[in-house]
Amino acid sequence: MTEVDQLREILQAKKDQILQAQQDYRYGILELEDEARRLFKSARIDSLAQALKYNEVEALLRSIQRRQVYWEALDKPMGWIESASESLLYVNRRAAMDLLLKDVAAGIDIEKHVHAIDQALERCQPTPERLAVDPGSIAAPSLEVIAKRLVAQAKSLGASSGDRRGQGIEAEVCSGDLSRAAELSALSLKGARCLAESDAKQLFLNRLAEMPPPVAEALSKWPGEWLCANGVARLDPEAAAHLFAWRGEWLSLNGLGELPAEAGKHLAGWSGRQLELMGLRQTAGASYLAQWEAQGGRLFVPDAIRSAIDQAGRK
Amino acid sequence: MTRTAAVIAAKFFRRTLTIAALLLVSAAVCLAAGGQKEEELNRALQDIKGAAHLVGARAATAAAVLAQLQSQSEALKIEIQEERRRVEATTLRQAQQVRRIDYDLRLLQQAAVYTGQLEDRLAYFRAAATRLNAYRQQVRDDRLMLRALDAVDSSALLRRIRQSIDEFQTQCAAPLLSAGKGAGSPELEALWNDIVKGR
Repeated sequence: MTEVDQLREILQAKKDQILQAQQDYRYGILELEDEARRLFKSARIDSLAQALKYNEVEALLRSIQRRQVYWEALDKPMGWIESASESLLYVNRRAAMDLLLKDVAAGIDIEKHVHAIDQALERCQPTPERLAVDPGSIAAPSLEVIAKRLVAQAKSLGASSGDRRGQGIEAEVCSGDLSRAAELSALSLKGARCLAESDAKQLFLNRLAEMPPPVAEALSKWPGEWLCANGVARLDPEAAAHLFAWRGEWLSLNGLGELPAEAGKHLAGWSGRQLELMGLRQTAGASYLAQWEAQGGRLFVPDAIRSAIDQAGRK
Repeated sequence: MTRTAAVIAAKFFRRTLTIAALLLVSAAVCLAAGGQKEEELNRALQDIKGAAHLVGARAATAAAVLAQLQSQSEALKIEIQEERRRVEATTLRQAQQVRRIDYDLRLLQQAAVYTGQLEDRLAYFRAAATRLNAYRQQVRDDRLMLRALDAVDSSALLRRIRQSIDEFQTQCAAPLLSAGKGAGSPELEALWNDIVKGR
């Protein structure tokens, strides 16, 4: 039965790897789409036929298509792993139930359970053959459909001087110049990845109004110390999960009016030392803040929220 | 005249002596019989005590295993509820598409078979304990009567007690349940409906 637990751990690790790969593909698609939209906009592309005239655009479209197929192809091994893991859990629990009764019941066949466990252990080994993916069996989304979506999105893309400036700043960031990073009012996934690769100790991104989960995930890989995003007014729970997985020390989110419980629960695992939430007005996540503070974190919040946290901490 | 009176007095004295002797013998016989009966009743009380101890120990074992199974069943139900809410399953057919729920329901079904048998056994042991307690009181009452009147026939009671104790001892030595028995297995649909209704 210990072997079953060990194999389930192996399967869980494999599942995490596949999930990570799927997320990488998903974010990779978002990043390519960002770029494609910009090209569609600048080259005034409004159909697939036009798009295919540009090698760069065609390559982008085909990459999006391929990543989409890979992403979906991973569903099959993921399903296999989940099924194997559940099957192992069942045989283990079933055996444990009879083991509990073996001294007081007649007809308990422990050998039968041992045999079932052995069979399950063999059947659930994650061999390369069992996890093999076959991208060829996945119907790829047509380039026509991808292009049509991007054309529609590109049309709603802002064409203001601000947007152009933002793109310019991102290009500078990606070339290693962070001098104007603080002026960014929006951040693409590519831009976030470029920032994450910088060796700056502090990042001031106070003009950012939003922190989408893919951007938060990319920034969570930045090896710096102080991240300032005081313009972000709302934190999605998924974005919170990424942000509080960041290994930095000091996080300023003074524009947040509330920290919903779903977002706050991710705070417990954050290893940072200082959190500024001076814009908080709602006390929804007070218990999580109290919990994090009790673990040794330094928390800066308005007085009204401080009372709620102190109260939550006493409970 | 004086001689005649002396003869009559001697006869009377002999007869009185004979009667007294007979009475003494009779009393001794009665006392011996009464002592034996009390001894039998005392022995029965000892046997009842031993059987009650045995039944109590077996009932405690059954209750402990039952509690563990019930706790496992509760944990399974909670897990099913969580999964049910996560995948928003409302029908059994939908639920069975989710492997965890499907397996949990099967485990719950098996646990229900086991708990059903254990509950029956526990009820049997409780009834046995009650019967033994009643016997104990009856034997004590008979013993009191015996001490007071020397005239109680407890043979039928003692026979019943012996039979019951034999039966209880046999039952205590038997397994608490049989894994091979599928009877009493609830339908998955019924289990699922109970879970949906939060029971």
